[in-house]
This record gives sequence, C-alpha cells and structure tokens, in this order.
Amino acid sequence: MARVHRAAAVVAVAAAWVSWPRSPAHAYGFSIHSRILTQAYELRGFRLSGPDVWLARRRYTQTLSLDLVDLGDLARKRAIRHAGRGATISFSSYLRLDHDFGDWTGGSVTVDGKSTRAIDAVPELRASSYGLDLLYAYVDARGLADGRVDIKLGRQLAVDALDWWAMDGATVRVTTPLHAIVEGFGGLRVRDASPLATSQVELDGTTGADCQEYVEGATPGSGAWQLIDRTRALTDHPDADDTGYCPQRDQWMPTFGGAIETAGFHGVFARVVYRRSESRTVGLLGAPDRLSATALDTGYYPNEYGQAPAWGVNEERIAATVRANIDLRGGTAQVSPWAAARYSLLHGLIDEAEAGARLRWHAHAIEPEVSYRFPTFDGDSIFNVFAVEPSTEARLSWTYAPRAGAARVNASAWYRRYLGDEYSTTGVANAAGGASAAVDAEVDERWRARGELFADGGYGGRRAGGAAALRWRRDRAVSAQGRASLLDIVSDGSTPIRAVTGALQLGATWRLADGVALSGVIESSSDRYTHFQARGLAILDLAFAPER
Amino acid sequence: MSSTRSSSFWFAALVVIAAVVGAAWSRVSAAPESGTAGRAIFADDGPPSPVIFPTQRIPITFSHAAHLNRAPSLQCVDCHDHADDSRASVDRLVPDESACEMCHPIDRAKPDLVLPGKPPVACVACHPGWKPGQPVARVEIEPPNLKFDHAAHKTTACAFCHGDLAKSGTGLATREDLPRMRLCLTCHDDQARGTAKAAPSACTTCHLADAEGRVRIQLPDGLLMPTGVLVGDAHEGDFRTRHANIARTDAGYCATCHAERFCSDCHLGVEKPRDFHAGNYVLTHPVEARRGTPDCSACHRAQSFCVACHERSGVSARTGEFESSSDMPGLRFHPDGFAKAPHAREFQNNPTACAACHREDFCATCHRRSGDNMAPSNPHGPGWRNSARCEALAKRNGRMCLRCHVSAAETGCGWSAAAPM
Repeated sequence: MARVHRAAAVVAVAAAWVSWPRSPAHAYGFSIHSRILTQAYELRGFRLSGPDVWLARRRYTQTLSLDLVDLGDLARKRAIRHAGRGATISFSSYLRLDHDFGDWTGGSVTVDGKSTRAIDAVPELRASSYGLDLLYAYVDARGLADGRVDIKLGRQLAVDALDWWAMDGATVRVTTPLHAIVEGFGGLRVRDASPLATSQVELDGTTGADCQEYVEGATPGSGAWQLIDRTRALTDHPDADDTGYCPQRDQWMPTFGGAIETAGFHGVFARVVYRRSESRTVGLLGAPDRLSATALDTGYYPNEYGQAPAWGVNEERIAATVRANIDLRGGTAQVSPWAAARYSLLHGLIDEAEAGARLRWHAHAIEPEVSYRFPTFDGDSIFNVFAVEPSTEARLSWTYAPRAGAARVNASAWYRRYLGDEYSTTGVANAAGGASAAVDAEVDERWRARGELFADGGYGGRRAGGAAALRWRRDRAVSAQGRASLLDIVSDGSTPIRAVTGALQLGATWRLADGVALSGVIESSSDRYTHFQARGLAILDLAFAPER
Repeated sequence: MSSTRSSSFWFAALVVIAAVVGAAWSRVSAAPESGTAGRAIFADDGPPSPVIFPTQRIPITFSHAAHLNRAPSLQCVDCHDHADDSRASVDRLVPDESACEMCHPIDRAKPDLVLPGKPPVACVACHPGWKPGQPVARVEIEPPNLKFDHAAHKTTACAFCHGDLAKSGTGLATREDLPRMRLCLTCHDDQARGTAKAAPSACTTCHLADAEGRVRIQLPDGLLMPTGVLVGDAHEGDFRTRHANIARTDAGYCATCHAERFCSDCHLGVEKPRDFHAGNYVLTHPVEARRGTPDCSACHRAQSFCVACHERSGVSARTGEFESSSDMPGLRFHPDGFAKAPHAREFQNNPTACAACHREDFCATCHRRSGDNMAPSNPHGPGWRNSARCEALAKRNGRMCLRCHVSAAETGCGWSAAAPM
C-alpha cells in the first residue's frame, strides 16, 4: 500500500507543478485518449485436497494518454524565421490504473497448512492489484540546433535491436552530415521497484518472493544466506509489510549506452547499439545483521575474501541490425533482406540472431527466415549459470495479397530445433514444427470472412485446429464480429493434457460519436476439463484528438 | 560448444547480408525520370488504395485520347481550369458542363439534338442510358484522404503523375490514373536531397496527420496500411504476429504511424488479444510456452506474470503439482522421476518455461553448493570450467556466484568440486 500512496503523491506533485500559473500560455496541439476496460472471468485454482476452486477475476482498467504538441511559441517562430522548419517540443504520457476486485488477488491461499492473504503469499500478484503504472512520460524536443539535435527526456519506452526496454533518463540524437545519426542515452532503467512502474519491462530471471538476505551467525563469517523472513515486521524499511521487499531488486539500475544508425536512405537502414545496466550491491538489512566494526563489513554481503563486488552488471549487450529494400524491374519485384544479431558481453556469447528476406513478385511474397536464440537473464539471476543450449528456428511464409482482389491468402511452415543433443538421454523430442494457412475474403461491402487452419507437433506437444471468423459492418458506426475455433491438443509428458476444445467469441462495436466507441465481447469455451467457461469484456474508448 | 559454431554461422550470415545490401545499393529505388508514369509504369503496384482514393462512380462516356488527339493544342487546364492554382486535395477539379460547352453547344431543352459536323450535343452522348424525364446519374468522386497542392507542383508536367492520357484508348481518367506513392517518392525522398527535384520527405507532407504529428491511419474509408513500398513492411498475411523484424530494426519508422501506446497496449497490455490467444488459451498455452515459440517474453515476464498466475492457481512447486485435483484426476505437469535427470533436458531447451513456475530458490535448493560434494547436482554442465561464459559472468556480476559459492576455495571459474584447485 505504501507504494500506492507514494505513487499518488508523485502524481499530485506533478499535477500541481503542471498547473502552477506561469507566463501566458502559448497555443499548442493536444490529444487525449482514454480507455476504460472491464473484464470478468474465472480461473481454476487447483487444490491438493478437496475440489478445485474457481477464482474470480473482476478487473477494472483505465488508461489515460495525453499528448501535447508544439509547446512554447515555436510554431510561430518556425513559420517566420525558418520557412516552417525548426524545433518542436512535445510531451507524451501514458498512465494506466489496473485493479482486480476479484478473489484472484483479494482471496486467501493455504501454504503449508497456513492460510495467508493471496497477495502476501504470492507477491507477484501485486502487479494487478492497485497497479498504477506510468508506462511513459517524456518531453521530446526535436529539430534543435538547426534540425541536427533531438532530445528526449523522461520515462521512455524503447524498441531496440531485439528487445523492449524502458528508462527514466535522457536520449540525445545528433544527425550528422554523413547520413548517420549518433545517439547517446543514460538514466535509470525502469524496474518493478521504480516509481509508478510495471514489472513487465524489468529484466527477467529474478523475483522478489525468493529474495535472500545474508544473516550473520554467532561469529563473524559464520552467517548464511536465507530467504527474507516475511513474517517479521521491518522497522528499517518504509514498506508497511515486507512481502514485496527485496533489497537487491529495489536498487536503482543506472543504464547508459549509445548507438549509431544510418539516416536518409529509404532503401537501407542499419543500426548498432550498445547498452549496459548495472546496480549497486545492497547492504545488509540492519545493524543486528552486520559484522562488527572491526571486521570487514562495509555494508555489503560478505564472503571469505571480505566483500562482494560493490556493483554488478545486470545487462550488457551490443546489437546490430541491417535492413534493405531493393526495387527490381521498376518495382515489379522487391527484395527486402534483414539481419540482426545481439551479443551479450555479460554472458560472453551471441544470445539472439535472425536473418531473413521478403521477396515480392507482383501480388506474391515469400519470406524465408532463420533465427537463433540462447536464453539469458538478468545478471543477478542464477538461471544464467545453468546448462542451457540454444535453439534455431527456420520459417517460410507465403502471402498472396492482390490490391484489387477480394481474397487474400497466407501460409507458413516452421521448424525449430533444440540443440541439447549432448544431454539427450530422456527420449524427449529435440525439434518441433508446424504449418498454418489462412484465407481472408471480402464478401461484400459489409461482410468480411476469415478462415484459418494450423497443425504443429514435436517438442511441447501436438496441436491441430482451425478458426472461422466473420465480420459485419453496418456502417461507420456499428460493426460486429464473431469467431469460432476448434482445437485438438495433446501436450507431451507422461500424463499429457488431451482435449478437444471449442471456443466462441462474439463482439460488437458502436461508435457513439467521433472519437467515442463502446465495445463488448463475450467469449466462451468448453473442454473435458473445464466444461464451460465464459468471459466478458467491455471497453469504452474515448478520444479527443483533433486532426491537423 | 555448439554456441561457438553458431556464432561463426551468424557472423557469416551478417557478412552475406551486408554484401547483398552493398551490391544492391546502386539499384535502390528505380524510378522514372520523366513523363509517362501513372498506369504505364506503376500499374504493377495495383490500383490505388481505396482508403486514400475512395472508390468512385463516374457514369459518363468520355475519351481523353479522342479529345487530346483531335485537338493537339488542348491543354489540361483548358478543361480543368483550377488545376494549376488548386491548393488542397478537396478542391473539385473535374470540369463541369460549362467546360464542355466550349466545344459542345449543349441545349438542355433539346436533349436529342444532333448537329451535323459538330461535336455531339445529345445528352446520351455523355450520359449513357439517360432518358428524358429521369434524373442524370451523378458523378461521385469523394475527395482523397491525402494532402495535395497542385499549385506547388505547377512546374511538373501533368502527365508525370497522371500518365499519358493522349495514349490511344484512354477513356475516362479514373482512380487508376492517380499517382501511386512510389511515384511521389521519386522527388519526396531524402535520397533526392541536393538534386533539383528534391522535395520534403516527411510522410505528413502528403498523408493526413493526427494531432501528434503522426500519419493518421484511421481514415473515413478504412484503415491505412502500408503496402511495403518503403521497407517491405506490407501489413498483410500474418504480419501482426511477425512484425518483430521490422520493429526491432527500425522502430522510428513504425513511430511515423504508431504512438507508443499502440505497441504497449498489446506488449504491456492487460487485455488478452483474442485472435492471438484464441479461445481457451489457458488450457492450450503449455504447448507453445514449452517450445518458446512464439516468444512469450515479447509480452510476459516469466518471473512476474507467469509465476503469479501459476502460484495462485496451484500449478507450482510450492502449492504442489495438481495430480490430486479431483476434477482432473491423473493429470500431472511433470512425470514421475522428473526431479532427476529428465528435467535438465527440459531446462536446456527452454529455461524460460521453467522460470514461469519456479523461482531461483527452488532450483538452488538442490543445486546450491553444500558441503564438499555437489557434483551430482552441478547445474553448470560440461565445459563450464574456465569457459568464456563463466569468466564473463563472474567478471561482471559476482553476486550471482555468491548465491551458492561462499568459500574462498570455490571462487573463480577454474574451481571444480571434483578437482579442487
């Protein structure tokens, strides 16, 4: 709860700061988008004794996106001094409130015969209880220094070579005369413990629930690593309860890096980026746990050499991507090759790579691609040191999409091979593969239909099935869609899941006014295990976004 | 190790790709230098997008070729008299009847009139099927969802964009004779910078913009989607599930149309995408999750999202495997004896699938160094000792090692329980 209060205080201060009267306001553009989602469904809770229980999820989510464009008096200056060119300053933010009123988060769970609040027993549930997340909020100044410099300041989401990440900090991009952009960035990486943050952008591999502390023994150096005692009230930490307390995951994670990319070629794009995130090693929990002043304790976890390293690297990677688009025969044919590779300096290996090409000929396109993956985790995760083998995947897709045709077709086949042969003594399949095909047809101005089939097998299990969807559009205001699917699934394992499951989805959208839409969806499914399930979803979209 | 072989392979692949790109550099963006574009050169791009140029109804008989060939001195602006000073695409530039009357002395009171030796003046000559007393079928040409300033393009020959309408057989000028984006790019492209034909290259020079300055994709006549002319990013087929290679390569390009909220509503979303995770996905997801394809981590953090759900629903190590479920008797997540050898292979294939249920401490319970004999549960695998991977990890984050190795004798990548230093 303390985090929620802290978050609310941050929002209040920010609102006061923004609304504080200053010099006369200048004209600016803006847009506001808001979504209200309500979801109701149930999930099974398996029980070792007694019948399974059904746990309700009653979720309410509200999003608010605010964009302010052309702040300051720069538009007039651009028009007068620079013939329309020059600096622009904008602000973008996206705030989300998500809460589950159901007993999924609000109920209790029995662990080792003791009933505990679910949210205490499973700290990760906090993400969907009073989740107030600021997904991004930044000021973006572009075209500074005669169009050569762009600066972005604040919380920013970045899709970069081979991954997603987020940072509270600054990014500076400088366009050089040499068809290249040089970029530098630095700040604090967003992690679950950051103010108003979502755990989804944190590096994977660690969890707060299994966080450990070093507890000293009777004599210095005789202590041991132990799970944090969650039944003990903490007096030296601002959290009211200690269930979500994990000192190492609460540490700031300074991040910095740089990139260089091509600019000004619409046919070729390449980018090389380096990024490093690290965090300070946390101190012991409090004075009772510390070594005596005469020992080697300076507040870090001790080992027999005296100290753990003061800092540890959580991520250090360098990645390169290149993409080209080549027109042949006056545009009749097109070749678009791409390649990307990411090297983890923390792990000393390439952890992801992919290469492929899109070859278009008239309305046909073929895309062969191969990818390689070596799973890696946050530098603090012990999963990193376990024996892991990479996997490679090949995929071939074909698309037929005429601009004037009523029907579009696509099909693809894939094969994934796991390279753990050295340890293969269990008879587990070391490959998986599958294929899928879909047809999308415009029946007339109002009706649109889609059908798809797929089948796959190998490691993980076997699936085969298909779906049919129909969409009806009465006019620009009202539309409805339905989708029915049937799937036969057999997961691998000695006692696998074997089921034929069918699902039906029905939804409708009513555009009440320009920028206001109401949608509703009902989804039901049935199988031999769960018999019948239903799920409801309602969405109210509100947009105030004048075009220009 | 196989990872070394793979590294070499991927390095070679990058070199090959770079060579292809380099060799093709000079062939990028083939484009017409002059005159006869329109249908002739860019017809293979297909008809223009109905979202940009809405479908039309032009119930008129007319031949551009006949008019232009019969009167070679005739200029486009003789009939389309506002074409050279029009500043907006909503301007109606189609000639009305008064333009026709320059040559066709139409007399509405005499709809069947025939003037020998003169151009036709009967109503049905241009309005086929019209019958006296009936309303004339209307021409319906919706304005394009695009910005265009004819006046700014006054120095460009009309035929450069609209094609040679004097060509034999050319009748009505329709949507087919409107330019495709590939033609616009011959000037509106950074690659033309510094040349006489250079023109602004921002997408919103021509495309309508939203309040944030991005290309407006929700248009009255549908959703605007790229055809792949620019970077091969045609949003067709299964692009929704396979867009990663474009987004990761050049996220800035995606941002010309999409705000971050568009991406984060799915990738960081709280609402299940109903087509991607169809129907009963809670039951069926284990197959895909174990394979790691599609990549769950694109949207979900295993040690938060997955662990929360598995722990709460009882599919976890802490609350027991669900073999005792009364509703699903006999169903088990792991087979008997899984805690011994078989689980290592599963972990090696896709450790993220294990991390979806098990926290680190669960693994450390057995794999942590304890006493002098940890070899049976050594998690590192063959080749770990003195490996580059061990050295890199130990050098950059020793905290991880200290989770299990607590004595001085055990530190360093050369240490082995079986062969102590």
